[in-house]
Amino acid sequence: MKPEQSNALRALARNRSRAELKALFALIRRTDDRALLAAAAPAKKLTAKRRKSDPLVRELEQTLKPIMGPAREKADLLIEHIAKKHRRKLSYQPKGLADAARQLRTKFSDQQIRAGAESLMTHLAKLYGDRETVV
Amino acid sequence: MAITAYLAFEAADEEAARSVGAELERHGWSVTVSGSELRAQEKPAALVQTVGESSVVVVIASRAAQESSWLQREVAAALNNGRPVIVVQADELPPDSWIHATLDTSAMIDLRRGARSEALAQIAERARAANGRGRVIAMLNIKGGVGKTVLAANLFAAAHLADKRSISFIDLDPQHNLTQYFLSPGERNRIRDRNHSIYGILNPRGEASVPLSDIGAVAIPLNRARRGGKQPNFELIAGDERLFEFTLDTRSDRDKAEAFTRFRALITALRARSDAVIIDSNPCATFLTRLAITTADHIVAPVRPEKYSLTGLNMLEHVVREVRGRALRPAEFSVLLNGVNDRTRSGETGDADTLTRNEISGAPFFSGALLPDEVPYTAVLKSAPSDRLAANPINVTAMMRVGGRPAKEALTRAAAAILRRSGQ
Repeated sequence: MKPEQSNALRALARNRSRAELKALFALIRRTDDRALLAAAAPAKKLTAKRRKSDPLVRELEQTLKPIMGPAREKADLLIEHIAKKHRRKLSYQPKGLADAARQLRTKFSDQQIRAGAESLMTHLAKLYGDRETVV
Repeated sequence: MAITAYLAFEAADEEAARSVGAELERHGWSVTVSGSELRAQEKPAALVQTVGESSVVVVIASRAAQESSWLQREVAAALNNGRPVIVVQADELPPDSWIHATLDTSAMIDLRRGARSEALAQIAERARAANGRGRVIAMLNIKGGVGKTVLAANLFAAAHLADKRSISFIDLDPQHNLTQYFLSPGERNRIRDRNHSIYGILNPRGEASVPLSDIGAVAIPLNRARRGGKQPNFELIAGDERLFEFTLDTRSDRDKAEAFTRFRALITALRARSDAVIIDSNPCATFLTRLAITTADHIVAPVRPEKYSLTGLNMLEHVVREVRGRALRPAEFSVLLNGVNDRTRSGETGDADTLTRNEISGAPFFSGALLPDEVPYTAVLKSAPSDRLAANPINVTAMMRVGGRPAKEALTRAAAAILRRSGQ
């Protein structure tokens, strides 16, 4: 046996009893190389898959951007507006725009939600959108 | 500090006054009665001082009171110092009496009607309610541009959001910048068209006048969040540019006298439902400033680190003393240093802050009024024109904007200190 091979064995044997080593050698003898290599490979890091953001939510965020205030208030305004527009009773209390989109999708199409956001902006611009002017 | 009620009456009504005084004392009040000691020709200032420092003034109205010039002086001192007045009727009054013209006699307690014990209990209850309700705080400095409006909006938005305080604003400035700060031009025009502004309230007659019974209902809600159940109110009595009529000499003295009575009725309605009523005043000494000074329990004077602000502060003390007719206590004022650590200025910024701070803290009168909390110069307090919409007006305030954490913390601390100093 070459010195580096004895070194590797010595590293394997560290802190193990004779009985434990014998059981380990027996396991190696009866297992094929493929399974041994897979077991000895370092554990893969479990990286969370980056969730692709919903294009509808991205669009809603852009459309409602001119409204000042937290996303929860924007979501409330959107739901209230869509409910009025479609004469439906919606008792959602979304946490934000993504939550609002998820809840609205159970009753409306993406197209309807998008149109709702745009008509909300038109409505708000009529009410609050004018600027200071001078004579 | 003992809660003091001032009892104003004539000798002919002594019996009624004695029973009212005894009832108030039974409810824990310390009662000061009008008498020859205070009603001395050589020391009218002592009378004004005593009336001005009492928590409530109780007036026994009768034929004798109608004829009394001393009682008139006591009522004037109470009104000029913003003291709540409870009118108790002990005798018939002529319909053209100055008492009817000057005081709100619609809620007068009649000692002659029903059981006297009930009337007395009603007086004690009214005094308790008058003392326990919200405080009126006026934002004042004779110098303009020190941050009265922006600080009024942001300080008390911080008190509302952080400490759940109910706040009513009154925009008493013809420039109506506070109304502009919160509301879009379209919304302001709609309010103006309905005359639901302070102009409609001050106007005693004509198309623009708001009936006295509707005064409390013209407030515009400023926190319109759809959730969270019943929120403490955060509302505004909007201003409009027609208020200029009350600063120019175009209004008669009679109109102004009626405007004064109507303004006090508005203050009573707002005090009953809010922890604090904030008056944003105009930067000069006019009839409107007088309305603010005579109704305020506490005055907040913002000061910028610049020399002209200090002149405005000195003038303010002079004007308030003139209007109230008595020496003032530093506890009635709060001086708030605004715009410190301004890095956009040249290198001597730190010096300007220190010099201003030292100047005020070394002054004999204002040193006791200077707040330890200062508002830093910050972008979140700027009112730059913007294309963004605020469906919920409170969202324009610094507390709802991104960033500016030191400023937000300073605003919250300063607002809490002001409310504490005002007795709230």
